[in-house]
Amino acid sequence: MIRTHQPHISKDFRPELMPCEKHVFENGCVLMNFHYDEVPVVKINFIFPSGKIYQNAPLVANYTGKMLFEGTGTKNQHEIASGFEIAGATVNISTNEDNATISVYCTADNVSDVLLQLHHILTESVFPEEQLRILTHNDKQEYLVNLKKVQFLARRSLFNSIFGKDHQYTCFGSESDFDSVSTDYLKSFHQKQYKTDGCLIVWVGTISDQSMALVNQLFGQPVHHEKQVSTLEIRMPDTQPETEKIQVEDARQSAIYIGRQVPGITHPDYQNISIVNTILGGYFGSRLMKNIREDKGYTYGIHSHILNYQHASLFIIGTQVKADHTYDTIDEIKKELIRLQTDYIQTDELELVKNYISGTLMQSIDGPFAQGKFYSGAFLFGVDADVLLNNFIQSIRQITPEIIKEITRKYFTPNQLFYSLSGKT
Amino acid sequence: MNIRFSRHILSNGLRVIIQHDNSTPLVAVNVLYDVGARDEQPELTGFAHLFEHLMFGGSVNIPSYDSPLQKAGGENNAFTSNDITNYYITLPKENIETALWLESDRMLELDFSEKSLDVQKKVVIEEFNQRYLNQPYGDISLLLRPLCFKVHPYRWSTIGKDISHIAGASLQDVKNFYKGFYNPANAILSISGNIDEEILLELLEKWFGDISKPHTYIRNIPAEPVQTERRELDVERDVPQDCMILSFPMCERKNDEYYVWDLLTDLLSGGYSSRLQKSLVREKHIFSDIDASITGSIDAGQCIFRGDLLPGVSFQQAEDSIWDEINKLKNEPIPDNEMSKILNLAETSNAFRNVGILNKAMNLAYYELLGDADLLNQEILAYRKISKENIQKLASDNLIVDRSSVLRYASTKSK
Repeated sequence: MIRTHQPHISKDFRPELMPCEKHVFENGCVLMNFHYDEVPVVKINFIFPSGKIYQNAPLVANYTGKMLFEGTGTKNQHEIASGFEIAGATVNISTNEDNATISVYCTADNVSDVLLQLHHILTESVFPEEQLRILTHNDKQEYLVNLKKVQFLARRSLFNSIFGKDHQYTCFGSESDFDSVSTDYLKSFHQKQYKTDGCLIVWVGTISDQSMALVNQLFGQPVHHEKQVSTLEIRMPDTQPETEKIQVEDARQSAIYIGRQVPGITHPDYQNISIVNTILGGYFGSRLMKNIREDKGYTYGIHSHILNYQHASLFIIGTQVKADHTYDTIDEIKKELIRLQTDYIQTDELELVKNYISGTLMQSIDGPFAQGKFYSGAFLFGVDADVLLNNFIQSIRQITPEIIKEITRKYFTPNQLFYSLSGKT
Repeated sequence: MNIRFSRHILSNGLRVIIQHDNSTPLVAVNVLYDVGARDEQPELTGFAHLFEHLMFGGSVNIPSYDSPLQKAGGENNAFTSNDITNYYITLPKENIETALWLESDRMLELDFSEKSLDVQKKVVIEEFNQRYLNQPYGDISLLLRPLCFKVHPYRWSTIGKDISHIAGASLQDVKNFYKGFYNPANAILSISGNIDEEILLELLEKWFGDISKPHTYIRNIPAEPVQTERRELDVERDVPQDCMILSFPMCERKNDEYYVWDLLTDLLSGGYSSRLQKSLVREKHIFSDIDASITGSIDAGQCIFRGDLLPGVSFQQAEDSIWDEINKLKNEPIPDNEMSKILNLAETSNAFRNVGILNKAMNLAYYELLGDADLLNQEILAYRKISKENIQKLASDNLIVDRSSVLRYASTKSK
């Protein structure tokens, strides 16, 4: 045993997907099942195409989702919440840009009861005005708190710069929107975007024949409505790179957000862009972390990531730094971007990143909960999960120092990027 | 629930838990050191956490901790609490030896350098800024702890009592801290994954067996005296909304009463149908949000109510409304279906807490520290034994004015 030498490492570990059991019901609703029985629990996600991009007024998508739990023809808010909780179930809804996801966590014994209750609120909600006002009044407080956070301000401003204001992907809402959002909008949004035939069900845990029959009865039957052709059109922004500064008095730290649109998941450059992102700021040993945290100590953390929406992908760098070093940090970020396109990456670093990404790919599909997330993510982007994974594995194998330089030059040149600062600017 | 594991102790005192899981190509390795902010000296606070950062600065035989792990396809992180410092790794099981090599070397001896200390001091100061000082309401825990604890070291946060303690840390202070706590007999190593136990034990012996460092520290933390008077603190900050905290002393983690406290807070604020949500948020419009929770610390902790006041509500009204709910809990019988609701919710969340190899490895190590890793399987039974009367009695004995600490965190705007 020599402590100065790393033990032999295997590099041929390979992420592998388990087969996914997929059922398509008569109405087109899809259920993906990932078997799990170590602990007798079930986690089910019901994913609807009801994200913010479909709304025609601010906050509508978010409150349509939340208001599903606020009253039906026969149950009030408290009865709905108690019903789930007496069954030991936690049921949440979260709405993002593209989708709304209802997550159900419960024990396997109670799943039928919970399904019936969930179907009831999905189909019988009445969107009571009084409850909406309680929610918006309370949430407005949270919004006002967010306005005190430098990271919230800088991030929002970056999105506004990249997409332009009033774009579907910049619908953050303002203080007055909390008062003006109305139940009429919510009702019509619910009718259009929460149809059972548009739902994707991701079921982790065991699913009995009886449960399957119940899902079929509740979610799988043809619904008689005009098949609506999606008329959603996402505008392509014609914005130019710029720097936005938001002054915040007495800020000890400044938030810096930098980014741009990049090609999405189906583009041939996507995987390579993603690898370059990892090298730059996508992991603890990244160049940005090494330079700005581990060498200079300007920040607690600096990260970059690729954010994928269904109709747009973004590359984003984000950090909060000691106020005195705001501009030093931006200079160092630019230096790192330029270094990536002028100097070839060393073999050691490239090897490390390749292995690291393979390891994180394995983690991203480890176990039925992660697999459910991976499969459904690919499905929503219209990509086959196997193909997505294999593209990644291929790109990791094939990437070279030349490709990295080329990709950086193409997508990560400092003057192609949008900059947003808030704090002492 | 029945999560099976085996337990071993190496001759140097290192406690080992092995949990076999053949459903995954990955393995999780968790190393828990029995040291937290409660073991710090009052004039050198924030050290346990600063130390967690230094543990990534290279060890005696390995200049970089992270790179070899990343090369082996691994991912890692760590956290520090008032009680423990916990390090964890997940990586492909073929490469487990890299994890054991790295963890054993930093248990053997760290490579202390002025440069690493200097940079990590800056990083921790920025963490202090980012989490506590440059966030609205970020300093609540810094204010509340010294109000609730007068003697026990829980009176400071893991980040430290004062940023100057970190800024002034010397290399010698740091070395002394390491010597006192980073020893095999003060650690618990737990591993979950698909690795043959015999092979694993050989590897553990190979990498950890020869680390012989005595553990001489004897924990001698003064108990917090029983609180007999109401305590109040008023502060004003540039935040949009008033916030109020009402806190009460509770028992230590290993006391059976701990589970009663847990259910008591579930009853009050666990879930959307809980009492505080229904009454104070939905019906009376006092708070935009309110929650009751327990600190979960190993020594006697606190049960904390925290509410965000709606505009136009006074601190007096807000506090009165919480006392109304407390008195209702003391005086009116708890309905059967409410009791079964919180037990069912506890059962579900208990099950989900043990999903996945990393959760299992972490939880097993923590329960072993508490005295028995098998508590992971047994704990739910303790909850099932609790009666409605237990909860009411606990409330009557403990949720009283003379044991309360109140923090009124006022918005400068509302003045």
